Amino acid sequence: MHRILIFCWFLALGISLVSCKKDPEICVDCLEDLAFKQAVPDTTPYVLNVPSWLPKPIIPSDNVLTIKGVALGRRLFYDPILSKDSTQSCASCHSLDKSFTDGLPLSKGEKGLVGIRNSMALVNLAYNTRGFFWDGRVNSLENQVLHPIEDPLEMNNTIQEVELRLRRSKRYPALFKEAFGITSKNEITIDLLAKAIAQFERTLISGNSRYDQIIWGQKGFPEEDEARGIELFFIEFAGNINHPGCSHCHFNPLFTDNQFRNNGLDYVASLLDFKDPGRRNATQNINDSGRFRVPTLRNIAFTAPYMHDGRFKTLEEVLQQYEKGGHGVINEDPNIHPFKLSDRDKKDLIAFLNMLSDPSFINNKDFSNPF
Amino acid sequence: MNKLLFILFSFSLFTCNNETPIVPTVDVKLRVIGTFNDLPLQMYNQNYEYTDGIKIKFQLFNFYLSDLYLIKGVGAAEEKVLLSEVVLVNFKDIQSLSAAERGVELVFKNIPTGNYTGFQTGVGVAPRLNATGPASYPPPHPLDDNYWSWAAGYVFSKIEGNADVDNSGKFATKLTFHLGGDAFYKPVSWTKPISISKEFSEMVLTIDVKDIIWKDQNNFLDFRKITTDHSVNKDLVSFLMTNLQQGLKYR
Repeated sequence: MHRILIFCWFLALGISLVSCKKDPEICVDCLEDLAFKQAVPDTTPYVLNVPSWLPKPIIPSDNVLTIKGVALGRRLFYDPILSKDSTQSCASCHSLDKSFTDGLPLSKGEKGLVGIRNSMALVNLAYNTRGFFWDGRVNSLENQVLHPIEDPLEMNNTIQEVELRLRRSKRYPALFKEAFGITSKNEITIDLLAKAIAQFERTLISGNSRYDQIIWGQKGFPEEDEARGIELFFIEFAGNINHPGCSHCHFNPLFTDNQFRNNGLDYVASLLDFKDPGRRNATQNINDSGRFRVPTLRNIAFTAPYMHDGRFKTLEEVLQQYEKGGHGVINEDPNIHPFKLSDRDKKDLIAFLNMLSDPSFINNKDFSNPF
Repeated sequence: MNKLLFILFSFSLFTCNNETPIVPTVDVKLRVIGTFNDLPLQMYNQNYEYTDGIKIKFQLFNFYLSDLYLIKGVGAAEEKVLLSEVVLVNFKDIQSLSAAERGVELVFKNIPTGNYTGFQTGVGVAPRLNATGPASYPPPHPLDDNYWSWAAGYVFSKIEGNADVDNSGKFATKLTFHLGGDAFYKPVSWTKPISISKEFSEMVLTIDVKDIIWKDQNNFLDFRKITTDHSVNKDLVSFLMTNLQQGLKYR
């Protein structure tokens, strides 16, 4: 009996010691963390290779591109460490082979929760000065990066948790030191994470489509259907032909004006009745109801389904919608008007839209998953 | 002692040198106030009586000004001070009465103070700029937008909105008039004393949109007959651009 009691006492002591063990502390400047100690800050600039027919990208002076910063951003972009249950990365909804969209009508977040909008293509973001997301609710890429992390329908995490994970990580502290010259792991902040991912996203330049090569690069000629498509797309009115006027909003060379427009998708009796208020969310201006950012048409063949809610599976369906000319809602863009396209017109227009596909973009190894 | 005199003499040479006096500079504000039939011009939130019972609501009114200069002196002594190569006067966000009364505000940095004799600008996009495209202008830039890819360069002016042509109250008729083309670019100037100082550095232009679309009972945009043009009808573009140029007033 006495032996049993002694055994139980030791067992209880053992359990209490295990259960009272402290949480692992963040290793701050500890000697054994050689990777962090040995990492050397490296500000070698990342040189963007931009075709001459695209504008000079806008790089903020407080977040210039460096090779190490872009590489860190790329790694973070693909790392599910950012989501609460470590299942979702930025790439979960922004897949390179789909021009950084996800192929779904509405994006899915942690635990398969369905979001409220279609995943936007991450293409030529370095040119957008008019607000990010479909409703333009944030003004910089750095701020944009933070929203999905805390969105309960996306990564469902907290800023504090993400910072803690990155500081505890075996790999990231050294990478942050190389990219941003931090001297302590505690200097890893969400702002640096945002800067790194924004750096990576600013490198996602697409300007090498068949259209670019022919029109600007003077290499080859468009096929007959493509040439007709180009004319239908760009020329608004030619003789008696009522052209769609696509280039009002999707003009050269970015194929977006990054403005916010009601493109006539839905009828509502009152501007307050839009199922998704769109831009109004950001501005509180009733005239912005049902308005969404004009997306780029570059790589449009890779980014189905279409519209802010992914309601159209194909480009044919998109053209059919625009043919109707909207619903006459008072803030509908006046450039939305009915027109008639023959089957051949539609086929030719789509042939042109396919010219905007840039295979060198979706196959760019510098943009791919580094893990 | 001689050394001291030499140093003082040298110093006096430096301090008395005949450099041109530095003219102080200020930021000059150009306000462009829009009206329609003398009523403050608001997008969306105001209906305007037009003509023959037609009513209009605006969604967008904008126009470019190029080569904006303040003029100093006359004749051979004339000097020009460049304010800006190009600006977009955009009423898109003028959606309240107070905003309409303020107008569109443009600021030109570091303009020398002084007494100027006039103001000069081109209405539209100057041909040398119109031959370029958005690829030349990283946003935000006035010329990163309003571009016709197919031929005529930039859209010099856009008038967009809705008309109620049948008194139904529905404003069901969409209006889009996009004007451009090198032939319709025209410089305008005003000769008048303009004093720019630290105390006063504001200029005001006014434009009444009705003056652009309505000249008289025989010459006006009849929205029962025409609702859109993209500078295909050259007579119409000429009518509207000339009216825009003549309608701009320096206040």
